[in-house]
Amino acid sequence: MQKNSADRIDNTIRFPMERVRPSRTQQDKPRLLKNTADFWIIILVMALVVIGLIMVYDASYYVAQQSAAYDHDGAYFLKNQLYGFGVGIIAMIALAFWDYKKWRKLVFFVLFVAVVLMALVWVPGVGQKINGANRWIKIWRLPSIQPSEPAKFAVILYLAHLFTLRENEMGSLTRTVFPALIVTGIFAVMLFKQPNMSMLMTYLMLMLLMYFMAGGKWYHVIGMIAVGIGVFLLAWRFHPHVAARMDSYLHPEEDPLNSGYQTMQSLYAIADGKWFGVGFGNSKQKFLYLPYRESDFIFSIFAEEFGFIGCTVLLSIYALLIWRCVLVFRHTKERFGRILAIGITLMLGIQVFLNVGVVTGMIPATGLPLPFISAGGTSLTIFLAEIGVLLNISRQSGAHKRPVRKTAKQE
Amino acid sequence: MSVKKKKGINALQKKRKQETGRMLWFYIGFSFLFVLLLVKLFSIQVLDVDGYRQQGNNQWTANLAVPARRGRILDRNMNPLAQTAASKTVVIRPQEIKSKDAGGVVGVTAHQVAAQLAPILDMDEDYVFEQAMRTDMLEIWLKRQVSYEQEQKIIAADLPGVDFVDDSKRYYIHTHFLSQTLGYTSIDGVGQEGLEARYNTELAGIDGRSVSIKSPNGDDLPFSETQFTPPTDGSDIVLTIDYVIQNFTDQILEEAMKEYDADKIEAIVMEPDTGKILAMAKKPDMDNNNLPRNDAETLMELSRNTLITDVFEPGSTFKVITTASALDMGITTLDEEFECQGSITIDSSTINCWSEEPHGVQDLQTALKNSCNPVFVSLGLRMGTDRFYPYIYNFGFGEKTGIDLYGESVGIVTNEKYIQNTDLARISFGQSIAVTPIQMINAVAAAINGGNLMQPYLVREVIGPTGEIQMENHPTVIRRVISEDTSRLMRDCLYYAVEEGVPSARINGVTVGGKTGTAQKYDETGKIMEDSHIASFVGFLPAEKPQMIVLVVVDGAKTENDSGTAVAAPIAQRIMKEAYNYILTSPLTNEEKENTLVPDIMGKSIGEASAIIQRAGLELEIDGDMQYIRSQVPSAGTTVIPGSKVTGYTGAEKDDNNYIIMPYLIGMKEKEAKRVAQEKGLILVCTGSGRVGKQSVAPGEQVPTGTTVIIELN
Repeated sequence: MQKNSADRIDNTIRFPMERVRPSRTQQDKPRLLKNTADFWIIILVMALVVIGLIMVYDASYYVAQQSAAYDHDGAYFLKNQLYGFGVGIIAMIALAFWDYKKWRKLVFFVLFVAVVLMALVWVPGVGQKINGANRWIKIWRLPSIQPSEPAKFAVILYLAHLFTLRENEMGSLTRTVFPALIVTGIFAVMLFKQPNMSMLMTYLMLMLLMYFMAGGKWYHVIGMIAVGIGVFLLAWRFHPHVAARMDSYLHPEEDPLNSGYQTMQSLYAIADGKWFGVGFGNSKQKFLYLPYRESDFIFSIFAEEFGFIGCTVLLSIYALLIWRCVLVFRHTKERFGRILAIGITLMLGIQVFLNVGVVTGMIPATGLPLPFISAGGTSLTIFLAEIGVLLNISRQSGAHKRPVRKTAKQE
Repeated sequence: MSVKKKKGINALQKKRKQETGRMLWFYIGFSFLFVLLLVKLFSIQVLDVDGYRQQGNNQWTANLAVPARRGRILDRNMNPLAQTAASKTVVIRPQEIKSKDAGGVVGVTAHQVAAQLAPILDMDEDYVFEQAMRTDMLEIWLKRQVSYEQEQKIIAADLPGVDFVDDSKRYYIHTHFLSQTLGYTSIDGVGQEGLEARYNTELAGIDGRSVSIKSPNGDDLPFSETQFTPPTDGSDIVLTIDYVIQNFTDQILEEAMKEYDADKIEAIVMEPDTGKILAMAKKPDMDNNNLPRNDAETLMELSRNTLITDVFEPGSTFKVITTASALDMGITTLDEEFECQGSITIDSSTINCWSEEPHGVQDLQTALKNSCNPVFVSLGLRMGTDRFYPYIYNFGFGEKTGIDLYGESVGIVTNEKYIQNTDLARISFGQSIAVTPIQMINAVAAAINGGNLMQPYLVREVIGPTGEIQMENHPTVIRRVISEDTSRLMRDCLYYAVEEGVPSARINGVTVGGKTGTAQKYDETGKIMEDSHIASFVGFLPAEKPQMIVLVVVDGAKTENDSGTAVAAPIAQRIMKEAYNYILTSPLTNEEKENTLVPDIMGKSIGEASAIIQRAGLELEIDGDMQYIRSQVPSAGTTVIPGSKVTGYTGAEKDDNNYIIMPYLIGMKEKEAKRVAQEKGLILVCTGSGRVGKQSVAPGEQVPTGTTVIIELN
């Protein structure tokens, strides 16, 4: 292992003026931690998953018990979530030990699988239409999955690969920007057709920010934002789904019982929390008032039960997690790993922001899970798997063991 | 080489710098969004600038009125005349209806529901459909207080999203009985007319309130506490009305209406000594249980208590007042002789006697019997306005009698300033003056009861929900009008008038006094109608010591002879006869009267019920054709007179409506679970200790009350 990691360092690009740091492991005690992943990431993710499991049960048991659709089983959502957690944790551990660089060989295969899965939502017998949208597939007796979740990882993988290949041509429209746009665009069109506007928004923001962080040109970024806004305005004008969403976003209180219902109910829940919340298990909004209480709007129930203080703590956990993930990016020398790491980090950050933004009424109401917490097996599994990939990158870079400033002083 | 290397170094440096820049941007953007979210949360949760908390509270809190039971109206022997009973209101739940739409076609189910429900409820189908499509509403009250037959039909139709909620309805136990006087309540149980309106405050009680936190489908949340202010039930009011006398009065008038085809017939039975009203009836009347609520005009007309609101020219009955005044004043005696020449001329206008043949010489008693107009004209003129008018006022004309009902009229007594001799002459025999029936009977009562004008009243006492007497009315003397001696003379005169003059009012075995009257009627233009009269009779018995006085007014009888003697006196005679027999055979006081408690027959089969009712000495009437008694009127425990009718409404099952929705007990402490179970009427069996982990009957299931639920505590 030691030998391998030394090799790897040699293979990575070395800045000539960079000081060659003595490996801390030679001077300091923590031998055991050598080549282990960032422990903080594991702790924070596990904390979020546990909060998620508790909140899912808390938010859903009443409704699950009331409804024949869930067999009057109060633990229905909890069981599903545990199932997703089980699969996810196995994937996470496996991927943490599976060299992330091997993903590069699988990029196009993964991309292909993702496109096929995405297409399956329209295949009769496999695809499921729920609330007028084709977002789900169900194969055989497996739990139904939402292919846009794994497809997101395929896009990250592809973009990381592309931006690694085109390291020195990041400014090239034809060589870098268009390929990135085309691949993301394929998924975007499919998401538009489903329709799943929030996921579409996630994909586009992800692509844009990855390009930016990988060293893309400012004017390309701004150009793409401008085009994006243009397309959005057209959609607002001509696409009824988008138009309806925008109307209820702009005026949720005008019709609190219909289109603006979700947002208003979410706001009632959050407001009810005040400073310290109404206490665990005491949410009133979870009793049929708030739709999607265990999935997209679980943050509202959390906010109601734990108040502003609880929200601050929860958002801080996310912030800490993202910060630790960014450190992986910073300390990874190998470009593919760097970009893959920032891709996963960005996706995490975007989804937290979009979800909380939605439930607080800042962003049009959309269906998007809160990472690690919302009920939804696919989402939880994929996020855990991605954290596994990130941990592998972290292991190989040894990022957590190298606080830069400290080593600089030591020299 | 070195240049190239330097260039490379520059490129790398540049790249490094760029990456640091991007990192910085990332941190800035990231921190900005983090702070943005926290600020937004702070503004919602702590500042709550948009008042979401209040709106949310409005949504969660169910602040329900717990209706106080409206008090009963009882007759003087405590027989209930009006009481509030449970009934059902039909509700529809649009969201539930929508959820049953097959194949996602909106409105299919709503159409089906409307098509089936509308005819049952006798409503417009389009309206029902419209209501069923209001999916923003959780529950809509479609029709209140539906009949039992409608309820059964709806249950049989088994429509989705159609349900019942408990409601209450005012039941008037005897229909076409004292209807205008009892009055009625609004559909929400607020008194609108009659005693229901006059004593609304006493009857209504004070509603309680229940404030609790509820889920959208109306269930209490498991942890929510209910703040409960109990209602104060309304008081019962006990009338002076006697059920039996009122009952045959109503029946007799009903028959008379058919016989005479009159416009209206009115009757009052009163105790002359006390002013207590024993019966009060006006036909046509209404069925208080089935009011024409949609036709305000008809309802107004039928429910108007014309006995106190409408005035008429009394005609000859007013001669009682003239005679009493003249005798009391001392300007005449019974022995004085008068001569009737068939007409009398005052100030150049001629007043004819009603009879074409002059009555000739007659004493006052005979003149009263003959109802001879010229005699009373001369009496009136002899008294003069100055002396006669105070008597008219003292007898209560031109002022309200003070009976405890709203809407009493004062009548029309022309101010004495404008009275000419001709007017005074007409007033003397009951024209040019308009009185209400209650004023008339009260004035005559004063003339024969020893001379005191009493305040008539309908409510003897008000009994609070716990049985305490909250208010009592006692006989009230308004004023003394004539002396006892004059009053005795009046009794004699009027006895003579009936005995010699009105054979149709005589009753075997008891002395009856009284006076008939036949007054002219005016049409809409104010012209005197030729062929229609208002016939009246005021009579009392026994003549020596009157216990009862009766006034009957027949308006527009379509008979050959529509005089008081011909139409009003026979009606009064029948009422008095029945009343007299009743009083003779049954002691009037409450204490001495034997009463029967109505037994409980709810849930019994028809056979069992009729056996029970017979044993109690009552009579059972079955409504509906099912096998078990579902409800009964009057309810068990009510005191009734022996032989009364008990109506049993039948239902299909033994325990038709005592179903409850199994509450959600899991997570509760044992004590809490027990409380909930007790509230819902469940039997709870506990195993283990701690909090409820399992319950043997799933929450939300509909089970009969008394079901046993086993809970496992852990």
